[in-house]
Amino acid sequence: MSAGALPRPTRAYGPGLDPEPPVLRDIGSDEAITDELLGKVLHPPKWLKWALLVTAGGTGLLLLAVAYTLVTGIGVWGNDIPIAWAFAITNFVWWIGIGHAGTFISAFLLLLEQKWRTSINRFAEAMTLFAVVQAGLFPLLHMGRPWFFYWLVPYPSTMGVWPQFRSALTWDVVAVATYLLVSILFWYLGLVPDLAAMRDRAPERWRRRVYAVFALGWYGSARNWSRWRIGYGLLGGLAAPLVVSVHSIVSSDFAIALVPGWHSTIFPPYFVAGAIFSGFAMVVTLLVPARHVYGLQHVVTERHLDNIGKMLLATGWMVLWSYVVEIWSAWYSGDTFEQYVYLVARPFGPYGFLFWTVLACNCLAPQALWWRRVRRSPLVLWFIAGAIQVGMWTERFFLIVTSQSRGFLPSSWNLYRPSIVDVSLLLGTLAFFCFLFLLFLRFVPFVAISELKALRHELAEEKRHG
Amino acid sequence: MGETIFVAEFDSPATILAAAERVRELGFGELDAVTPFPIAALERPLRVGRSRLRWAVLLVGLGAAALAFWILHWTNAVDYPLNVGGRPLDSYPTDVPIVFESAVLGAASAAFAGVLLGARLPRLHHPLFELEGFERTTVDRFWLLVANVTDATDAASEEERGALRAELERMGARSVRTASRQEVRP
Amino acid sequence: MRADRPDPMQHAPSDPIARRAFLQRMGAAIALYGATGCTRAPAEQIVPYVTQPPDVVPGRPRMYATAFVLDGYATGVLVESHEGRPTKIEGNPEHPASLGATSAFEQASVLSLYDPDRMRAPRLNGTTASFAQVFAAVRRAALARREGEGLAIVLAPSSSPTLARVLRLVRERLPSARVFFHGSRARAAHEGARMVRGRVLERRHDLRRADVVVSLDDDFLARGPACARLAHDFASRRTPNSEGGMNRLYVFEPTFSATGTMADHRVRVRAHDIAAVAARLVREISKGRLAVPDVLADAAKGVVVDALARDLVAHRGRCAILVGASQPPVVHAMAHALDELLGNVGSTVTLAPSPLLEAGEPSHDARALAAHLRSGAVHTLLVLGTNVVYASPADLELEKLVRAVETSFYLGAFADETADACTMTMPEAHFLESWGDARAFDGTVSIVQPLVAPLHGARTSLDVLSALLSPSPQEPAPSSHALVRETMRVGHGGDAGFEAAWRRALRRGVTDDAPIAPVPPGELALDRHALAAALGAVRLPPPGALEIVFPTDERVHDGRFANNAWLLELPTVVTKLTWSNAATLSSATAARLGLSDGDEVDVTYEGRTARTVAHVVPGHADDSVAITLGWGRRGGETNARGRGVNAYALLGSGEAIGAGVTVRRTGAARALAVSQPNHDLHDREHHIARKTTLAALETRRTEREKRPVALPLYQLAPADTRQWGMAIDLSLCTGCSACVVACQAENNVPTVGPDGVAKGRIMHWLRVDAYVGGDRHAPDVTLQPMLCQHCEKAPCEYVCPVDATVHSSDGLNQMVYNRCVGTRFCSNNCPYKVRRFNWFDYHQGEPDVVALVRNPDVTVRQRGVMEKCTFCVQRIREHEIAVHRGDADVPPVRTACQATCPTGAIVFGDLADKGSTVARLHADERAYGALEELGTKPRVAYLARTKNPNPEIA
Repeated sequence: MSAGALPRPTRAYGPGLDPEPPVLRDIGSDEAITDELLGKVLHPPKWLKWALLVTAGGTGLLLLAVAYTLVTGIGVWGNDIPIAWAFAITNFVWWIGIGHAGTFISAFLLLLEQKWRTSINRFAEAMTLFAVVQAGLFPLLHMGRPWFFYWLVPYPSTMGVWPQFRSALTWDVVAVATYLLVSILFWYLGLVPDLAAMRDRAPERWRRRVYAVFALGWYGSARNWSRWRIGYGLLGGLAAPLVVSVHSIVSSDFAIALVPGWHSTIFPPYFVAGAIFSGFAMVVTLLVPARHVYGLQHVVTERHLDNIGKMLLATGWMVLWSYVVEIWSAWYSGDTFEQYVYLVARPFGPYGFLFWTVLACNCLAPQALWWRRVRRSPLVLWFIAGAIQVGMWTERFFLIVTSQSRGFLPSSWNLYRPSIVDVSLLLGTLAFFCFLFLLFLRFVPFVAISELKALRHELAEEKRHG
Repeated sequence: MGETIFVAEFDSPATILAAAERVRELGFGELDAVTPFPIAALERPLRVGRSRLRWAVLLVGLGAAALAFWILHWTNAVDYPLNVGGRPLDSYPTDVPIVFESAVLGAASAAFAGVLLGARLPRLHHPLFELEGFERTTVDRFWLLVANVTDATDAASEEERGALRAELERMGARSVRTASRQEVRP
Repeated sequence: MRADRPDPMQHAPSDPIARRAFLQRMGAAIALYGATGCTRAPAEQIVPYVTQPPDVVPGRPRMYATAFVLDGYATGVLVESHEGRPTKIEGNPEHPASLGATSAFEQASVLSLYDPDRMRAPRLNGTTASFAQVFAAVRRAALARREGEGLAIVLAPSSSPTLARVLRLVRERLPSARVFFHGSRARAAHEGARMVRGRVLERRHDLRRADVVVSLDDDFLARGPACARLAHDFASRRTPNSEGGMNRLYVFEPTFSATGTMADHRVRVRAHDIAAVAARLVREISKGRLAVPDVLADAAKGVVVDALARDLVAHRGRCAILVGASQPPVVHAMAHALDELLGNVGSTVTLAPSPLLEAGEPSHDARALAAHLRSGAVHTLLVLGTNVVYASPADLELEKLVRAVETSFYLGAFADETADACTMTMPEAHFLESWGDARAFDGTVSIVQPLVAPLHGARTSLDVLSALLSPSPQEPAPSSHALVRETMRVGHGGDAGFEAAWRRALRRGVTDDAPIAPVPPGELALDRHALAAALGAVRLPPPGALEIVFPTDERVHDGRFANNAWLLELPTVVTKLTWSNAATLSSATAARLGLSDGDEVDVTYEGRTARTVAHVVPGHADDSVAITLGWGRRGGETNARGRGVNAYALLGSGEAIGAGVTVRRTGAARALAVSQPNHDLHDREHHIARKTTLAALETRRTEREKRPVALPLYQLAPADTRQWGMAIDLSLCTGCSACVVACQAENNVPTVGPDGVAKGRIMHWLRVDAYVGGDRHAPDVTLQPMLCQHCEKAPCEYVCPVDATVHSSDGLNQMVYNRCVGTRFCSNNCPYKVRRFNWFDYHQGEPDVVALVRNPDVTVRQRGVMEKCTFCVQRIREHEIAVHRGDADVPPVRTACQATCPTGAIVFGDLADKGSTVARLHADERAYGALEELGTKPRVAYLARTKNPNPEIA
């Protein structure tokens, strides 16, 4: 896929390495940039069709596993007593965590007026949406009687009973629902002007019609824009605390329980840091290939990779610190049960190898990001991100499972082995996630064009006034 | 007695901004601009009113929080009190998450709805779309609309219109067209 | 599909009757027939247990007294009947072998009644036939030759007075017929008695008087004809404050038994070396008055034996020595000698003739039967209610012999191995379908009365014998009911007041006639020379030589319960093995043989080889391999077939203990379904299962230690209603697991099969945790019945998003199945892990007939919901309703586990009533709450497991 009419930027690595690559490289006139970015959507690459087909197949696997579970019962999973939660909840926490980077980028960087946000925020927001969709599947599926999921919602029923709001699970329902809705609104509001552009540039009439509907009749009057700016800013301001709260609440699923290994006050910050950590890793996982095949090197420059690398390093250290605090407080507490879980079961128990995998993936691998060279080479960054993905999933798994498998009563200690259905569900959601993301690339302007143009002029101004 | 609206086409934020300020100096009251991306500086000369959206969002957010808190209290402590783990019927600390999330949800919905209302969206069509070349708005065209220009045929009016057109062209308008309000500002 | 569904109502198989319809019909029937209960009720009048109202009220169960017979000995039971449908078995407080308690076998026996694999119709030469046809054929064959020439009758060991009478008649009519009793477990004891007492006597123990109790390879607390009674008496002396002081238990055994877990001093010795232990005791105590070969006595090493000898002497006349059934006669003989030496006869032990028919006679010898068959003199063989082909030593080759017989008839419950070998078969009635009588260990007679007419038209042994007696086929043979009445009339001495006596017997579950009187000590003598001779003949395998032991299985006994899912899924005492047996051995022996747990092995003994799995059991004797009997069935029972290994295939016709065995690993490995993988407490004794000793308690008393209490975060509202609570005395729990099965029966708890157990999905609401502590060579096991603790600050409750588990005003942690959505958060947050989840729809597709065993007062849980112990809330509410109704003398609430516990370890009651036993126990110095420091405020108090070790043995 060529980068259109524009000259490919020359990457200058080595001793004379540019300390601060630009947020945007020269991208020609407004018209040029518009046509180029819209063109990527209007004239999709050939491989996209096949990629969609493959991921659709994976989604089929997901549907199969879901149907089997619903018809037969949770027994087809590997769960048991004491390990009543395993893969499903691990996947839930992992996916919802991945979502966080999207909102983080959109919201926090917007509030902090970070210029590098513009090129990648729509990617990230889309990623958030689709990740939250995956996450939402699991709490439903893992119920014994999923067809009664709505009993967690307060509605006046003939039974006369209500949900029990001391349970973190009811908090989850509200938190995840809010997160999904706000993410959609935020994403969509940002999208409207570009949909209008699609409406105006699409070659075929039917496409114009469709985009026209989604563009809501946007025509960019000064009044439109002023309201839009205020609203977008407000949503950003609301989404920022939301990011922090959602994963804090998810972490309370464990923190409010008295299971040794769960019962810990460090969990909320620990989980949020981990979420953003894994989220940025997922951004890299998606952005690097897309940047390459769509030739976006001038829009998504080394500056972006560099900054994301720094974010990974920072959040990685927060996670590492949480590990240390956890283990230290377990040791300091003098609590027999906690000490056993943290100091014996996790590092040296039957799941010990997971513990060391986690350390290698989440604590060791990111240290390479101290080097600017690493941060700016897409391939290396991509592999580190992959390691972090694996590490974060594993962390959630062993956090959830080892704690249950080594509870208070040694008589009920037991192990968990995932069944084929468990694995299918995980792989299935991965496929479904990619499927949705490819659809997004196929139909939606995946770089915020109008914002990009505004940014371009802004930068031009800056240059003029030195 | 009808009126004419001048529609001037520019091709850069700078030119339209200058033109807008100039026209404002000439004392034309009702101006509007259509641009491919937000230009904050335009809002002053165009006299875009300050939005009350922030307050609306705050109020709705607080309202949602209050409602959520009332639901928690009423369902668990009043309507169907149960002994759950020997805990108090009203466990305020455990109410925090849901109340907070509800506030965010309410506020966010209000913000979104507010934008649509404030921007008078959604709408299926706008007369400006009929304007020749207007489809480039979302790409790289900037339009300045000057209203309240009388279309009376007396000499004064004629002169005024001529002056405005001349001024706009001097400010770098690629084209200056006139239309009736019915055509462009339904 | 539906066609082969078994049907409960004996209708054409094409039209099975669903349980609902069945109950409706019951309702109608009750309205019509009143007293007789229902259409399934036997034609003869049966009499309800006395404390029940005389009229049947639909929905209100009635209790009937009857007797459960195992190995010929009776245990009195009360059976709960819902509109003519037996669902639950309790002990009969008036019966000497029960005193209100039962073992796991009685509890599970009701499930066998509804076993879908039961034989459904008689078969004649491989084709289905009518009862009349088969009876005719049997008569023809049996009476073919004069005086029963060539007729052999094989019966299960029995103590039935009626059977005795009928057999007399049979012998009068057919003098040449031979009668055999197959599968007796008391032979060695009887031989031993004959050896030194000159006649067959049984030793009856009164453990209420025993300060020191010695078990020589005898699991008397959990198994045997009087286990419930012995456990009860033992327990009466087992707590620090029991009057008469706390007793002391010494156990010498090869395998870790329930009794072994209770021991103050347990010594693991090879089964062979038990003889040496006994000999050493005899030598030490007799001080030479009895000749004991030193080579034998010196074979028993260790400080414990000598200390025990001194302890016994110190408690002359107040000690008891119990010997296991699998021990050779000489050991039993030595026990008699010790009785004499220690002057126990008349105080802690009495000797009386056996209640078994022809006890100790050659007719009890399987070898005699085999020889008789081999002689070819038999042309007609009647096997009545004993699986002779399967449950016999392999070297007798009984299968071949039975097949060789021209006409063979089998009366049995299942189409098992013997049925397969016989030409004619007939379904045998379950004891809840039969008329009969039987004696308890002490000779007390109970009437066996049916609660329901045979579901599949089955017959009893008495019916068959009676058919032989009727002069002509036309003349109907007297029914077993008539025979039993006749026996009692004769015993009663005429008709005067007989009816009243009969009704009284049926009501109480025991007849008025006195038990078999013990022989007065004066008439007893001890044949020292015979003993000396026997001792001289004892040859022990050299130290280090591997021995093999064949104990009866604690779950399937000799294989008769091998199709009973409740027993199959009942975990063993120490290693919690389910759904299989295995070759158990000690870790040292396993190491020596290069084996590890789960290795597949070939066990070869006397040239016979069987393939099984090595299972390492802590506390198992070194150089000893044990394989329990009763597994590896090949019959038509679906649950039983192919599970575990058939130890009879190795067993020799000599003793149940053998030497010269080899164990070789095949290289393969097999996973065993174990319900508790980990037995190490990880230094959590004080938090979970506390232990102490009598001495330590006394010092603590003097030091007046304060018991720490967890400070509450929230104040609980003061209780205005009754507050239910439970106390479990760990000192009294033998791990017999009767409570586990009782709970399963009472609460419709499903079984999950070996795979389910291996996955960690066992559904038991009440389990008995076993923790192995102490040093590796003499490990001691702490048993802890674990059930829902009904915490006042229940952690499971506040994490449920839908209020599916909440607290009741009377302190129950309630589980609302209908509201549960199955998030399983409650289970995660339960520190005791007593919550169970319905991973599948466990009752889906189960035969209708199985549904009949369900307790109608308890919901059958559907897929996807949590469940757990409810403190038998159905019983509590029933009690409250009765009180509310103003019924006279309403009995106190007893949970299913409490009711069946022989030692009374489990106590349930109202904590608000400070005078109640449970409240007193909660305040006991030994009382503590499991994990109480978590602030869960459990409503179950445990009393620390207290032992009374001999101070002499450090």
